Amino acid sequence: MKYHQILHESKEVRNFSKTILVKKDQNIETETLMEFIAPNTTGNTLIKAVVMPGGNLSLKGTIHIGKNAPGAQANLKHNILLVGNNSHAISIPQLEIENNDVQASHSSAIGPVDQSQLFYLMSRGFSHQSAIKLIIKSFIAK
Amino acid sequence: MSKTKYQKPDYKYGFSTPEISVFKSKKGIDSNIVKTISSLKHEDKKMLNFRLQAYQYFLNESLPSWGPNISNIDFDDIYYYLKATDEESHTWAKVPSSIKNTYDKLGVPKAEKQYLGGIKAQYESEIIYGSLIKKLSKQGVIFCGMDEAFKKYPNLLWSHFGKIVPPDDNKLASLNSAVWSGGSFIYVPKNVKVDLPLQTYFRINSQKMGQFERTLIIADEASFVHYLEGCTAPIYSTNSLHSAVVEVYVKKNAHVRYTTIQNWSTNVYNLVTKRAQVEENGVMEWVDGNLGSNVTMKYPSNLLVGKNAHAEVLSIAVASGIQHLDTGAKAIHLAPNTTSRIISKSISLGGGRSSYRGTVYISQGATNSRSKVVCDALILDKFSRSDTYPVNKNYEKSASLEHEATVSKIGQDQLFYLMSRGFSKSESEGLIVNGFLAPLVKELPLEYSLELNRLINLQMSGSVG
Repeated sequence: MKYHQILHESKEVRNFSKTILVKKDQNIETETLMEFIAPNTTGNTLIKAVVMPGGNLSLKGTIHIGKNAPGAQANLKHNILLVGNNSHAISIPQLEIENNDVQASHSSAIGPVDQSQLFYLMSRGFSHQSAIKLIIKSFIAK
Repeated sequence: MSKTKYQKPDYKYGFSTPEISVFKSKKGIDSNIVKTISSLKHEDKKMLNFRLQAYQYFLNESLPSWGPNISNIDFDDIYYYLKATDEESHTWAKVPSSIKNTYDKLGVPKAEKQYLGGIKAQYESEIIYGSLIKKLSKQGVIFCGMDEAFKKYPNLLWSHFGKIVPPDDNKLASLNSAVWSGGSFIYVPKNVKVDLPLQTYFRINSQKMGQFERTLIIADEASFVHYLEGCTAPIYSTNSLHSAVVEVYVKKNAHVRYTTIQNWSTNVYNLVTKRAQVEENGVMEWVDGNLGSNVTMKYPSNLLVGKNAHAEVLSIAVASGIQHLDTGAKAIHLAPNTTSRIISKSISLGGGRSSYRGTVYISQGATNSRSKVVCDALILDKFSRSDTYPVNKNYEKSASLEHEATVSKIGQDQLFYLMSRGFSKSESEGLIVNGFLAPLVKELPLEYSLELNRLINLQMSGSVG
């Protein structure tokens, strides 16, 4: 899937967020592009993804701030949780900035289920599987 | 902003001395040139075949389709080999005075050689001056030119040369493999720690001359070495090409630091392939400063093949005027518990463009590996541009990979504060920029950090509106 947003009105604010669940042995490719072409615009993109065993995820996100968009504030975030064996994730967050009057940032994190959270839940009587389910739920809800 | 159009400043550190050369190959490249280079260097059949094979790869491969536009390079308009003096000079007295003058202008003090443990100065394509402190050779450390190394230690060289960066790796590595000359070879034996940095000095002084040096570093088990290379080059009206290949072997428990300060004049294409292979518990550190050149494409790469191997890359780019600096790093995690950290700081000013381009790959089976990438960019005026192009691949569920980047201008509150304390606007901006780079500049040896601060202030003077 490809999502293309253009911030073309002055002072426009846009928040785009998406949660992706890559099921077992599934391949998902997602691309986002946020273009800033008007002054004083604000745009945020947040992609959260959970990759189950055998799943493949490829995420590409681009922020482009043009010459005519001074005062732009942009943020792009990729948060990916790898669950289980053979889960693969590729994250390509890109910034293209042609203007100095901007605040632009991106971040990307691809990581495992937090072992201490898992341990805590299991020590309270949750089974391994239901503990992981709970962690995934909270990751998505956050 | 008072200026509407950016005026390219004169090259502020530029000068050139009349070139002296004993031999200069004709322009362009064909298999005869490759053969001539090989025979002039009295090489054996094996190296000649290596070069000719690499030349075939060069013909078959195409330039990278990504990154800055380098299609303007006319490979037929470049001198591939040039020899300044007949023999390597081993004493300072024998170094020709015209070359000494160039060093004086560059401010390489003669006394520095004793302090730094050995300067290998690469003037034109051959090493013309080299010195090594006796203590190092007693420890068994080898630090010499590549030609000398191939004559003295052929087996050691052939088992490592062209292995991490094979001749068919990319078009420019192929070109380098075909026509390479000069460069340094370092071997540090087991358990030997080299306290003083080993330093080399590169210069291009002949118009349209390419420089294709090869560097090979082997740090044996539990050794340590710090290698420094610095470049300056005078300005010329036509394009020059610098395409080096660097291979570093970090064996078990060894630690290598490789520092580069690159300040080519703004007509040089600086396209360099640098790669290190890090074994168990090894540490590889790259400190990479890019100030000059027209186009730079340089991505120091780390193959983490042993358990607990660690790679660290600190990269600075300052792009002004017509410059496009495309720099970054790569970390390939192939073993459990490997870690990498990449920190990049870039400044774009006066129409310059700086890009971060990097790859982190954590392979399946590299359990509990961790990687963190941080890119900070400053854009100082509205004519400039900054990009970030990372690729983060994590194929291991127990590994974590983080990346973050920010792009901003000089903070108005910082500027206001400094100006309220009596600094002028340009002084304040200079201070903020130097502060921005401070975490990296701190990592450099004293004389380099001084030079770097001076160069950045020079580049900034009058160019921040």
